Amino acid sequence: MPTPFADPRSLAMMICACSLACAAHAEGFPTDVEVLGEVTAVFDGSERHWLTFHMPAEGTREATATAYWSGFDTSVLPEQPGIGDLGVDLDTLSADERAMIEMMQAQMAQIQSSVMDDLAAEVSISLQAHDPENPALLTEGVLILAPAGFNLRPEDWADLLGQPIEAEITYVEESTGGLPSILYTSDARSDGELIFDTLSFDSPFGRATGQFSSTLCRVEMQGMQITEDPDDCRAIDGRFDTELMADGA
Amino acid sequence: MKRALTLALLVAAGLAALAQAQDRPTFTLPDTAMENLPPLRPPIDISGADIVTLDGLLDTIDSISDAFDESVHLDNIEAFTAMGVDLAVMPELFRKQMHVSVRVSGDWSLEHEGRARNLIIPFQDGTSLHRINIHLPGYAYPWVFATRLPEDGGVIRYPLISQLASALGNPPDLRNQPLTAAFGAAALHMFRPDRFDGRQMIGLDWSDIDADSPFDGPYTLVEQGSFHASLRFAEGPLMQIRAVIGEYDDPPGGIIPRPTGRVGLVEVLLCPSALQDMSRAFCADWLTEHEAELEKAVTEAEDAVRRAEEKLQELLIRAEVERQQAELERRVRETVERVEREVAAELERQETLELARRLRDDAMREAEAALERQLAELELRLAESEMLTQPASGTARYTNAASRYADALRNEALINLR
Repeated sequence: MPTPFADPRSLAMMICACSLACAAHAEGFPTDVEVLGEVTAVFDGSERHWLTFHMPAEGTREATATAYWSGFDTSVLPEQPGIGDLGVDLDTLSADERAMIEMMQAQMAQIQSSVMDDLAAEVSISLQAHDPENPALLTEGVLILAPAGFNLRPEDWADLLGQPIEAEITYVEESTGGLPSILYTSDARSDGELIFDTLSFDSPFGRATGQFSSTLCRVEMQGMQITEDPDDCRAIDGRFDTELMADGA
Repeated sequence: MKRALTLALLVAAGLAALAQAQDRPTFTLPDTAMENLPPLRPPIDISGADIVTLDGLLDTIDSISDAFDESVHLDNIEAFTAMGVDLAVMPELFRKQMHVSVRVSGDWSLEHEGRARNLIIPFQDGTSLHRINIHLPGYAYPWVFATRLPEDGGVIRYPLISQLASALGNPPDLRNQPLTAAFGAAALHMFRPDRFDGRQMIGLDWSDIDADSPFDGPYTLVEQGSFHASLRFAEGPLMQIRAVIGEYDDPPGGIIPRPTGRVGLVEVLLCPSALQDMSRAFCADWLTEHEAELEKAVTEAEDAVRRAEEKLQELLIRAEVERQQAELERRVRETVERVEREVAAELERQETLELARRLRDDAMREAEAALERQLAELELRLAESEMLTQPASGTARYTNAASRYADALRNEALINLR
């Protein structure tokens, strides 16, 4: 059976719920967290309510949030190698050869700089909401909204206001040892849809409001064994209103 | 995906940047929120001790795992006794002291001479398992060599191959796969003695390697090599292994070997100690003799190949001659047939010409007869006219003309009749 996660990022998002839980193990993790906003929805015929959290920085622990916007971190990309990094003995090069290499490297650097600038301008959004009524709310009853906007700058996002955009919507029902074991995902039917009514990328906090809908189908994960049940699907239709922490601000 | 990964990385790392405190409502996480969290794990740092405990690493040698107890190494019969093996079942089990010479050159350097035990277990298929553990100074585990050799004597030459998996799954005739796994395993742990127990690696297949790779540093594999053995001596077999070892590394998290460029040549000579004690030069001489014997065998093989090539060449030449003869015959036959056709055509043409010539002559003769008749008739008319005007001379002329006309008529009639 093919994996229901056509996009590997969905799997990564699943692991996020666990990762947040992992973060909760950090020494001194607060039991009191700030509420950034809420998500309400009719899920499988029932009214449901989730919260997005912000954990302020304290001591050596940095702040984190379950709803945030972030730019693309270009610092993780490798730098353009210099002429000395090519493994060529520079003394063996003629003046023409050296000039040719330097010219090619200058061109490459220019291209990379252009790409870097484009990447640095990109902005992404992530929403992970937790059910305050769930005793294991860090790992279970978690709702994840991931709008599928790639290569989008803030002005591009603004152009999309009021328009439906594709989204990955996932609900983690149960987890085992912190890893999602039973979840419902929009991947099976690919009908996840999200509309931003308002959106701001202010720092340290922006804001997002909007609505979403999808039909989420059941997936069981046992280790790396993924089993999809296309007959167990639940409709979800809801709204969100939350601050977005500026990641990296 | 990068957003998701970014999210994963950030959250996994714990946290993003400092955010300014705001006047927001707070939520108190229940104690139960922490109960279902994954256990804290230290960073993965696989060491030698971890490797031998990796699940599945020993699965492929489960059936003989007891024989691979770390403290035993199967060096002696007592080891089998300790394992509960009934020696009565294997009465021929015995061991021989072997002189061992190890030399590694190239990007590594090692020279060692010492002794080791050769554990020999005969099998019903006419082969015997020879298992030798070589304890080298500075190595936590012995190099392990194991092979099944036929007992029918003679010199054996085998290629060494580097695929460990080739020796897994009990090949039908292990004589075709000697030393492969054992030497490969030894090579694997050869230069990582603190990491890998070669005995434990014998059953290792790539599929057993955890995705995170148990290799936390460079390791070595057998690239190519050869194995020679001679069983002509009652004191035991003489064996020589030569192998080219390549060093490999894995990218982090990968299991695809990547050569580092370092290579070495490993030469191992195993000779019964009884022979070595009798004459220190014996094993070396055997090697010389063995090399000479191999050289001779190679020469004979090359001669055989050359003879075969000559025979083949001769056959090719003969075939070419026969082909050319057949071609010549075909051409002669075609030429004769063509000439015959041309002669027949010429004859036919000649006959046609003769017929035409005859027809032409006949026509000429008919025309001449007709012309003579017409001239005779004209002369007869003239004679008739003269006889009326000059009866004396005219009568004689008429008589002559009538005679000639009659001859002409007769001649024409004869020609037409022909």
